[in-house]
Amino acid sequence: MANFLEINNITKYFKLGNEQIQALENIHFEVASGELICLIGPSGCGKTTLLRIIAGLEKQASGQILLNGNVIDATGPERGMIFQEPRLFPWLTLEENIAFGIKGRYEKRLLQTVVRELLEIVGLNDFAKAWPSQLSGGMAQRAAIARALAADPLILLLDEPFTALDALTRTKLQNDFLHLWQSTHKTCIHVTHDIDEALILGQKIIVMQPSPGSVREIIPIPFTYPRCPDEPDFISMKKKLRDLLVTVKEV
Amino acid sequence: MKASTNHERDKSTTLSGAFTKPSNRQSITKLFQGLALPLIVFILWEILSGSGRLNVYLVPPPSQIWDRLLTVAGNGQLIKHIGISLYRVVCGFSLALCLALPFGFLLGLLPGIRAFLSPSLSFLQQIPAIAWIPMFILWLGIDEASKIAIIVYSAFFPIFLNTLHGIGSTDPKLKEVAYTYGLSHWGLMSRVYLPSAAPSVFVGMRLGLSYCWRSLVAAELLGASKGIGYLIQEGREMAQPDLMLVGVFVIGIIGLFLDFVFRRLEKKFLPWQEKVDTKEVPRWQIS
Repeated sequence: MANFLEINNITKYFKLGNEQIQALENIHFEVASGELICLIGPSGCGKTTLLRIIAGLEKQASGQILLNGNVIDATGPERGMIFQEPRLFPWLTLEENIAFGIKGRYEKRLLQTVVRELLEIVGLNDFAKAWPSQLSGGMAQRAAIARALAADPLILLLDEPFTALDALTRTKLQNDFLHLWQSTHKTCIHVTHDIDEALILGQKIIVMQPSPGSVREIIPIPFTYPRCPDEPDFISMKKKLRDLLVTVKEV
Repeated sequence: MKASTNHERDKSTTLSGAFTKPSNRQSITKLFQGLALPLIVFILWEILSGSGRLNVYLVPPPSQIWDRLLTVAGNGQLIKHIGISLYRVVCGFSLALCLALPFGFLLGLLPGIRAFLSPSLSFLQQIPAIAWIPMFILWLGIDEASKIAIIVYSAFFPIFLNTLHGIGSTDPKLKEVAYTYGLSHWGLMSRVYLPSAAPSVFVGMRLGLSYCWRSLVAAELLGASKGIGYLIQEGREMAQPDLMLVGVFVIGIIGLFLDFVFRRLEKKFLPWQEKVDTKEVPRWQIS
């Protein structure tokens, strides 16, 4: 598979008072088309910052990101971002929220069909006219996923999208998301700090470490889907990941 | 993705309540609840006046006020005064809206300019409109212009400040969502800033309208030949306390009606607000 997304030597600094803190140091990896990558690391390792740079919401100090051969230097509809919170517009109904990014791209009738299809995919067809304040957390996050899919992006960027949900809803949405990925084969970069979630979803897990944020190891996960957290292989991989995350790399 | 297992439960708890409108019976009950207190007060008042415990000249009984109301309503006086007062409010309020909305928008979007303007605006905001009445009369004459200027002045600040606040407090997280879709500046303004500020703008307009009434009546008391304020002044000059009270009550009733109209408009234009609490200071805390 050709390299679809190339992250080349990304470095980023943050200002904290008068001090300059290195948030990311020489991040370098590649993502193939259709791949589901999980980015895992302890808090403060810069995983969200990296995702925001890919989305174009923040600028790197040096380095380059190429998507399909094009340099990324701003936000764009070909990258769909899903945040930790649903971030639905409270003044728009569910269907209007989903149509937000594609309004004007299609004529009215077609737009309606596209939105209906997306509502069907995320299982919210009965709630087309509901206001976001009337939805539960899980439903709102589904709607956010539908909104990101609406623009038919080349890549989905997910910033801990299931963290704020209760355990049951989270498991449910993880499974649903997996089905969604298997049927659409969108390239996905999924940021998480949950080892189980990374192992259930990722084809590849990129382990990051803090101060300064950098890639510690890239681990391919060979297990077939759907994955069972009780299997010995899964458990031993989980131990390996936990060790990587809690121990500090020796210099 | 398919619907989650708690789909049905969510539907019954969060949606059925939200989609049903209050029934006719509920609104009639609410109306009676609201009318109970004034009714009791009026009845007590009437009884006390009838038994001679109240000075009828200082506190005319409700029946006498009602008679006076029917007289001025019958000879066309009342409608003429209400008409002219409403005309002034409508003119002044619309002008204030035309000034305050764009101004509030601009300053909300450009926080850099705020530092230059906000001390002066805070200074002006401290001065009640009534304090300007003599100066406005001096500059603009005793005719309509000075009265409308006072209304503009008093409606401007609540509308302006609430618009500014609404624009300024647009959720940066929602702005980010809009950025990721590559919205233009215009798109960002009309599709994110404007709807996000709309509830604040409405609060500002309702406040502004009630401020208008206050200062208008003051202006009409000080120098006018028509209007509800003048009606009260006329009552004073002719020693007719019942006429003064007619004026006072009419102001309250019109204010109530206008506020009702605004609430209705708000419901129509901001249906999503119904479930969200409007963060408004209760009326009686502002003066």
